[in-house]
Amino acid sequence: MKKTNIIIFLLATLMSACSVDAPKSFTESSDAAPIQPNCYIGTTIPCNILPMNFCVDADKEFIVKVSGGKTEFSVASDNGNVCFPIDKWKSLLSENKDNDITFEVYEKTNNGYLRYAPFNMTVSSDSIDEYVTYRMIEPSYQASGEMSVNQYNLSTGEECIIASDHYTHSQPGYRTQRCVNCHFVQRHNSQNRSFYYRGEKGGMILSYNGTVRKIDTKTGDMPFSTSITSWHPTLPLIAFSMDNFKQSFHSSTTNKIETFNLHGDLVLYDIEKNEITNIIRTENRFESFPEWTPDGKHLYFVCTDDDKNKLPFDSVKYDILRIAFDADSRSWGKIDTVYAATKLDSSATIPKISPDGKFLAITRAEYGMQVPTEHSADVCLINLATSEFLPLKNVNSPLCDSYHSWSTNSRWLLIASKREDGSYARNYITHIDENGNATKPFRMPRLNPRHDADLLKSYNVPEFAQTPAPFSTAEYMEVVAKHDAEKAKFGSPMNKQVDGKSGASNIHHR
Amino acid sequence: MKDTLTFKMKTLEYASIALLFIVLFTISIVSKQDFLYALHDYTLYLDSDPFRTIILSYGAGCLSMVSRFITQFFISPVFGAFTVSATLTAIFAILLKSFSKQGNAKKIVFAAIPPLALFVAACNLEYLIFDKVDGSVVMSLLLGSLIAVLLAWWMQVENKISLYLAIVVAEFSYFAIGIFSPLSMLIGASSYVKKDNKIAMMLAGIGLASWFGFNYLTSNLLHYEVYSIALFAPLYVSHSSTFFFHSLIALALLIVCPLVASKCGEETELSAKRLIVPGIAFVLAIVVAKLCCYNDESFHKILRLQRLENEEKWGEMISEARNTTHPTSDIYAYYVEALIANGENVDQMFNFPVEWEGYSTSNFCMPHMIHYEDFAFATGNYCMSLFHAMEYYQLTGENFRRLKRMMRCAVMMEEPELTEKYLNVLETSTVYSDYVKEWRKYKNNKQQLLADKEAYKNFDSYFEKKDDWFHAYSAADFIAERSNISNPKIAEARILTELYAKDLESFARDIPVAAQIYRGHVPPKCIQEAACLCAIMGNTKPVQSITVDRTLAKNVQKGVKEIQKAGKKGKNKMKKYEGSYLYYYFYKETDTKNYKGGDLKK
Repeated sequence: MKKTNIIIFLLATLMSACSVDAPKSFTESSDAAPIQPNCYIGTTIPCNILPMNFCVDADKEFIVKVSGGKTEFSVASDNGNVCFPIDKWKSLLSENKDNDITFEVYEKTNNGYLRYAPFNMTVSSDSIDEYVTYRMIEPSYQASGEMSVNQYNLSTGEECIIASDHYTHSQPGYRTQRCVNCHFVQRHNSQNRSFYYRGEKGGMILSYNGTVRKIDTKTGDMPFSTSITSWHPTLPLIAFSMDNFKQSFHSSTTNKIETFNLHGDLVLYDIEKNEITNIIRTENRFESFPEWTPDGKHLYFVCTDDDKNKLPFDSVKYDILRIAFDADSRSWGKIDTVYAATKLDSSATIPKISPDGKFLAITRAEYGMQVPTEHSADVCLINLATSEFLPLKNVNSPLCDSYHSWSTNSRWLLIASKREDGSYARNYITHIDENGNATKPFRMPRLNPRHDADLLKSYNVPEFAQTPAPFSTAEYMEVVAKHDAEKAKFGSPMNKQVDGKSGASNIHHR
Repeated sequence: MKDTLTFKMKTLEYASIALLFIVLFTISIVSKQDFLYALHDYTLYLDSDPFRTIILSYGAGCLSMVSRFITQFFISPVFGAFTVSATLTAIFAILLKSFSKQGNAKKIVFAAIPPLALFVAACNLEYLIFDKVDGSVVMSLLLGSLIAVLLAWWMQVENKISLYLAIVVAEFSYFAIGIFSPLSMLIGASSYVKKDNKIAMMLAGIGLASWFGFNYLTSNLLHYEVYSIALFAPLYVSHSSTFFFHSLIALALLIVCPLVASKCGEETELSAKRLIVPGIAFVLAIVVAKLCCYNDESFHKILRLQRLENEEKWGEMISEARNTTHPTSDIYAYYVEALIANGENVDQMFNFPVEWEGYSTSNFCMPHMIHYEDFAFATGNYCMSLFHAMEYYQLTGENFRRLKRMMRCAVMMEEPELTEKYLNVLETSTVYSDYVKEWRKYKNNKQQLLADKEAYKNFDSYFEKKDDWFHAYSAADFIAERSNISNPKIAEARILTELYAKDLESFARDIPVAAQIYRGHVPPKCIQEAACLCAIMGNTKPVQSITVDRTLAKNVQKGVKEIQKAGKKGKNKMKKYEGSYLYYYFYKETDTKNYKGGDLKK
């Protein structure tokens, strides 16, 4: 009998914890609700996002009421975590598309409850891609610590590892320089993907048409392997940059670490032919960060001016250019300057075109092309129809806001930002409307709201994906461990400078 | 006579248990305090979700989590010694109980051998502690063995339901305790060999099958670890390491001892004569245990220096570093760090009163990984210190040591948000609440820190305010690379680095540039001596650019003549010059393999 009573009591306690009622009487405070991350206040969220759980003071008791339309529910917190039940949250969002939902935060005090100023989130009817992939890495990027390419479900909050170099680092005797990075997806078929697993037994891990292969993309007279990747939206082609990144440390500025490029050319990989050809190989300039347009008719890239060997490295600046591509003849055409940042004494990098083709998102900084530590780095938009420059002032922070990715419907922009502490990048999401207006960005939510605060790793190269990775970690690792890399063929003339041609068409200078 | 020397069995059991505890506790307290402290320093326990998720996802995750929780309290080595001794004594006691039907003399020996072997293994973590090994692996070994013998003991209860229940518990706990799950069944099997071979075979079969089968699942489906790593989780320190090797021997003895013990005849009393055999064996085992423990002086010295550094006992650090017979670059780096912290004269750099020998640590560590971020911090290079700590924090295993270093770097770099992030993480541990409270007050007030702690003021004197870029991979090298005349301390550090590397050519090139930092006063003796040496070798520029004491110059001339006459073999006669740069230059070897030099910027 006693045991039964205890079980009933426990169940009752559990039930009461689940169905908390908001206080009926309380005193009001005009102060903003003390929540973390406070970027949630007044932001716009997608209609299919997971619960926007947040943190409050762990030493106090809180009740949070969330309401919108006909739905309202409350949750209690005595450990600092405010977590909303996922089912109720989903129905709240689906009922309030293009409307606001309101949050009321009540703090339990000695004199009853204190209600902070209620705040809203606007639920956009624009949905967001279900998955985000990113690399988890230490901010130092020096000796290749433990890194992994992870996949996160924005609807459920589930995270899994696609590939990791933990595989080899578990054995201290095998201290090899490894790198797992740059996970990219083909826009119209997100089952087709690639990432690098560098170091011993490394190569580009390519999943294409249901198979996984390991490709050695350093071939012919290429001085370096391929690095930054852009899949052609429809064809079995991948444009690569061929870079030689180096790092230096700052002695006193808050930028801390400097990444610079000592090489930069562009090549094209034909998956079906397993062949690499030159796109642009120049002696006097660096080209990098290739990005296909949604129609596949142009390849955008970044390029220095004619004196790439400038020193110090902080005087090397990049413009955004594009080169025409004829899919039928597989030939390259005219080069245009899209955004001449150098004329404004700045540098533009990471060109990313919205899938609807309307906007070009770039990162603008004082110098350089790899700017994950540069505090001057800001994400900006360029309206491709009008060439209007949109600085996205309400999106950027005084610290580094750099890598970005568009959702498939062109309405959401994912940004890696170091705004919280200057060192650890976190994923932020902002809504972009048809006119290029951005809303206040919010930090990518986690089921455990303390997750990002406690995490001592950076989110790096975040990219949206519509579908999950087509293969399991074990399947990818099997390819890494057991298969020798297929050597790509080299289809261009060797030792030849190629300005804007793939062994086919002539270069048209800007 | 026999009757008077016969002990009641229970009394003997208690006596042997107490004796073992006292012996292990004494050895730990006398010679293992720094090691136990280091176990805490190189482990991490955080009460946070990402941390739990990562640790629990590894093989034997629960065991690792519990071990980390316990190991964090080794910040008090007395507690560490107590816990280690108590765990081993508990294993001994359970084994004694398991062998209750065997003869007293022999059962004490058989029950004592496995815990002593475990103690030997636990004390042999060696240089791996600095690499990707969590300090809690020692506690995992001991705690896992305790769980295994407990489960095995449960299996021996004369009740089949209990036996099957114990098997089920052991099987289900596989992912939580790893290798110790099959181990419990193998111990159980060896205990059953004589009384019920069927059960013995069943236990051994299930134990081995689950070990290989579950590992296959672990490595292929649930985790991303390779098969061989999962197979030995959580002991996959390194398959070739002494720790791993000794651990396996200890675990094998846990299986073998019940088997051998079961072959012994039954006795209920112990004669004085028979007591001598286990007594001698017991003492021998302890001696072996002591002798087998890793005795590399440099290793223990580094542990000692790191502990003193944590406790900010700079004077003791200097004494300890000087009192070494096998100096390594790590020991020297900590010596210089302590000199800087204490504001000691730079001449002391060459007053390292031992024969400097290139000494191989034969470890897996990257060059200078042990002291890198500590030395960088002490020479005002906070950015490099922070980034190496960040990276090694992941690469070599997350630990309190690097977390504290990152937090202190953030304070010195005056980045309150970053400082708060580290403090918040550190606060989720159990043992650092006071430490967090102490440092939180400096979060927005570096000047207060410099006022409160003289050592940090001295470190900060090397901070280069004028931004510069550099990359370097050794302590000597990064000083050389970043030396800038705008900060006299750094310029001097560069000169000293050249002297340390015996690179008189670079010294002669740079000293005229650096001379302005000594304008109006006499440079340190070592620099004057080096300038005189250059003059004797035919380059008079250095002596012309700085003030050199006339008497000192004469002494150098005299010393060089004497040294030339005495030759390399006559260094004992030249002891009077010990502590001088002259003596260092001619008689001491130095670790310069990573010295690449740099250019002093005007």
